[in-house]
Amino acid sequence: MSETALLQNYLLVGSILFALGLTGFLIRRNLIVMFLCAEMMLQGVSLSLIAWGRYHNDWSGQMLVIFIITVAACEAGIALALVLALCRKSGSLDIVNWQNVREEGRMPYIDQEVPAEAMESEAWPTLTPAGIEPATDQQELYRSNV
Amino acid sequence: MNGCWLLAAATDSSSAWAELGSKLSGTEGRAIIGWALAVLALWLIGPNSSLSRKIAGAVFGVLGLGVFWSFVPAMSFLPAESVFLLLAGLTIFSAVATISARSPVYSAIWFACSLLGTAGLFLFQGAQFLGIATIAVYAGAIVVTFLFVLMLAQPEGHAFFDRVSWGKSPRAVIPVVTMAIVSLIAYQFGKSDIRNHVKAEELVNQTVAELAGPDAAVRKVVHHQDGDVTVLEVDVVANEEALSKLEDSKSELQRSIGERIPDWSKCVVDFHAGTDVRTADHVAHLGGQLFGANLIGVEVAGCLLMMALVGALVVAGLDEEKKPGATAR
Repeated sequence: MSETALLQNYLLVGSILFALGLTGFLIRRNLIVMFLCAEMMLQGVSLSLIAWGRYHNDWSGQMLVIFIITVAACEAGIALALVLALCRKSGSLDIVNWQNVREEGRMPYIDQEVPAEAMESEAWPTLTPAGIEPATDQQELYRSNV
Repeated sequence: MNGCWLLAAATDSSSAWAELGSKLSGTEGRAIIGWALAVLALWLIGPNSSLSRKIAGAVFGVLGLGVFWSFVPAMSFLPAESVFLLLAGLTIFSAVATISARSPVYSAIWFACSLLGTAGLFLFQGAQFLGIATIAVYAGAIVVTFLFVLMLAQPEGHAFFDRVSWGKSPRAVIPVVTMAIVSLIAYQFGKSDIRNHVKAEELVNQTVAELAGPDAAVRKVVHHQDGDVTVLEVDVVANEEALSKLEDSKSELQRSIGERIPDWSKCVVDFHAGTDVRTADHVAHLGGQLFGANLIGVEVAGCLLMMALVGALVVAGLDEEKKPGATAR
């Protein structure tokens, strides 16, 4: 199996993963999805590093990926704490709510139009409220043993 | 503009079509086609797209990936190639689904699938520890993220900000820029120098497989130009006997490389006895490297983790609520 062919295949997958993560980070507005996209970019870089490490028959690629995983873990901890704090303050995960930390002289971003959902939204499971007596039929009550 | 082109095509159709075909199948043409297809796919697979648009986007995406993969050489071993393509396909499909899922719950699930694919790709490269570590570390992170999603986003159902982006034009322009990265990298692989290298490596592989037996393996091939002579440095994992056999048949290999690759007519091959990173006790060696050459890095990473832990507690602001008289936000 040709090592150069393997390297090129991996670099292509890594670059695609990085580019997709960057796309998602820039076009999505949900804080949690943006966090996932940042992790995806790190995965793309890790793939490239491992491929280079194998190509050069060297341990450094894998060492760097171990450190990337460590830093990603730190990032995940802080990012989730930040998401929690921001969501508590603004009441939603929308990053547009934090645009008043922008530079002076920049226009605020305002949604021009909010399109309706293209597909029917799925039915979310609901919990039955507890402690409420069900409405019962009077005739049913006679037959009941209760 | 369009009419002119049609006219030219009509008057001299056969040669114009041939010229157009050769331009599009050339390296630049293919890079641009792959770029356009990938951008179209990402534009169609938006979070608020209907099912038919998503399917159309998936078709364009597969076509674009096919164009990009026409730049890289095949691995010349069918089982390895198919396993790789399966894992890469899983990774890329789940990554696209992550950024295009409307609900963050599905985004998190698709991201977990993408991580499984990446871990498989790590194992495929022989990085056993990292494959397992990715699953172990990220699985925990994803479960926590999942809880966050359920806690923060689920009660309201689908939020409007998950289906709108920053307006229409950024949503169209951003894929153009990001897919240009992929397209440029694929374009680099089409360069003649890299193609020659791959061809030469296959010839070296064949020679080593024929002469040195199944246990020997070519670990590393690098080349550099010395005047008009191309010097090929080959690291081989083999015993003494096989190495001397290879040294004896060097001139034949050099001649066949010179014949097959016109740009490298003068070629010198140097065989070196190499070591293999992918040894049987791979993880033990990795640990030796980690706690030997990278010991300071490990200590710094440990400090970073500790600081991140403290920082996360401070940022989350858990202690503020316990203060008497703290105002509700």
